[in-house]
Amino acid sequence: MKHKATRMKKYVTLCAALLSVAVLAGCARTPAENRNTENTASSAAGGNTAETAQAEQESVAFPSFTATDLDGNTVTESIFAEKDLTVLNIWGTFCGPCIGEMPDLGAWAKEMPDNVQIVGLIIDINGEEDTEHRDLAVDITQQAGVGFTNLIANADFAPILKDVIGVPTTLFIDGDGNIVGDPIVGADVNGYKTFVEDYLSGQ
Amino acid sequence: MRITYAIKRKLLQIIAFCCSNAHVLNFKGGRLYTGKWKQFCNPGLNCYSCPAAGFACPIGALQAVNSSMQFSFSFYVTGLLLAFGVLLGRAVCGWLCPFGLLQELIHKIPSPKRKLKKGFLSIKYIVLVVFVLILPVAATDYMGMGKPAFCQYICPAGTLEGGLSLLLAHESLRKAVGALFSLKMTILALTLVGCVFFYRFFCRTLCPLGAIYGLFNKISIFHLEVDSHTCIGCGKCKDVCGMEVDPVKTPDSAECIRCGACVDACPTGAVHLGFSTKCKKNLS
Amino acid sequence: MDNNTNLKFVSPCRKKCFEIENHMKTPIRIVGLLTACAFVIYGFARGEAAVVLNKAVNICLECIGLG
Repeated sequence: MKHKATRMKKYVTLCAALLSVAVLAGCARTPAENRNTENTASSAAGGNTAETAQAEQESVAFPSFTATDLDGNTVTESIFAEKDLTVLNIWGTFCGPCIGEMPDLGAWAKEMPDNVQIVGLIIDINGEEDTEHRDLAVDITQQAGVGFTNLIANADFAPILKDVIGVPTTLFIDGDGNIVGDPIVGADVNGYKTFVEDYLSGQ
Repeated sequence: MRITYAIKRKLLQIIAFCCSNAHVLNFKGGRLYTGKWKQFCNPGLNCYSCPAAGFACPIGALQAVNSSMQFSFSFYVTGLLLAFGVLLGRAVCGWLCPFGLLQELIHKIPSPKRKLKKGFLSIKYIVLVVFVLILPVAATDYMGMGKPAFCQYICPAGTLEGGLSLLLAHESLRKAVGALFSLKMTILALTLVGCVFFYRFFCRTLCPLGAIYGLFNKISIFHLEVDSHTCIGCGKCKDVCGMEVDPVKTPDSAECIRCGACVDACPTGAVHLGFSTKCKKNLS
Repeated sequence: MDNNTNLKFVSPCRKKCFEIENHMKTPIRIVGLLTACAFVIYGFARGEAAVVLNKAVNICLECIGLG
């Protein structure tokens, strides 16, 4: 009986020790790893509050940026000034629903009013050396019959992408470079169309 | 005397649960862990969209590679499943799977406990073949990208660990909730209620991972043996088995999760669980 | 009890079955583990782990039932 009790104690202590190591290791690694990764959707804290603030405020300016599009052209935030409303579709080459809605977006871009445009923002092309994802993105846009500009995300977009939890997420930006309305999360082309119609009729 | 398998197993299950979901701080911001460890798979079922998850789900990973544009068969994940299967078989379910632990805890809720009709056991093989193996490869779009059908339409572990956690943390996601999520919530609710009445309801009826590992039970290195010399045929092992297996008749049953309850219950110590072959020594 | 008589009848058969099966089991296990190693290495080498990582670190809205 006594032997059983001491063996039991040994087991429990060993297991408790392993347990605490596992949990501590997880907790300790989390903040460090998240700070080190370049992946935009990775900050552990602060995402929530910034998000609600953004939703509550009427106009938040889209951060200024300098980026390349898939054709190699340099694009800045001045692209928003070209139209009254820009539909910014944030997507990635890993994302099935994003790729699924691409042909619909391509078709819509051709028939939308002249004062509206769609601009894509690709989040999983990691710098200039990442030809694999870049070629994949080009392939997707070609197969989907997409004519609109697709920007390659870089560090300039971090303030916006910090609040983007999943893709596709679509933002709407007016001619002054301010974000209007709420972001639409998930592939919902009809939802985007409805927002655009309501926004234009409200002008 | 030995410490009961019940205690050993519960402790290891808890440790495995914590190792699989170590990043608990992520729940607050609703962010995922994004480190390199996530390219490696858990042996058990644990959604990689869970904020706390530190590794990938093997079934999710299998669907991810099979549905991707670049590949249609995953050597990597299949190899891992083969390795876990040969080494442990369905002992993964009994000792390492976080969702298995959850089901066992739910089963402790007091209620009349029922036995499952044998026909239900076949459903998981259909789920495996149709939703995990065929649909991700077959249901492709214009780019050749398929759907992770099991994750998308069925998996209650994903709904609970990933879906609910992320919805709680992010208001913008709640607007995206539609008919699909209602379907998944229904499946989750049925699973949880089922687990109250039936021991490990999801494991036995729906889990494709359990279906895969179960196939390895006949050859797994960690296995169950009944020494026919010592066995007195009292049937206590069969009575105590939560998975409704008869260890004397079918020690290598595809339903046996190697929990060791039969070992603890055997009055003569005829049932053995482990890596070595005890009975061979007795035969000579 | 009926179980007892059944068991006595099955016993010699079970002994034999164990022996045969055990002889077959070991080579199957070895082949299985070697195949597993080969598969994992090949899969890793051709970039499958990177695909898994990509899907695992980006919130897959499909996977959690939001489409």
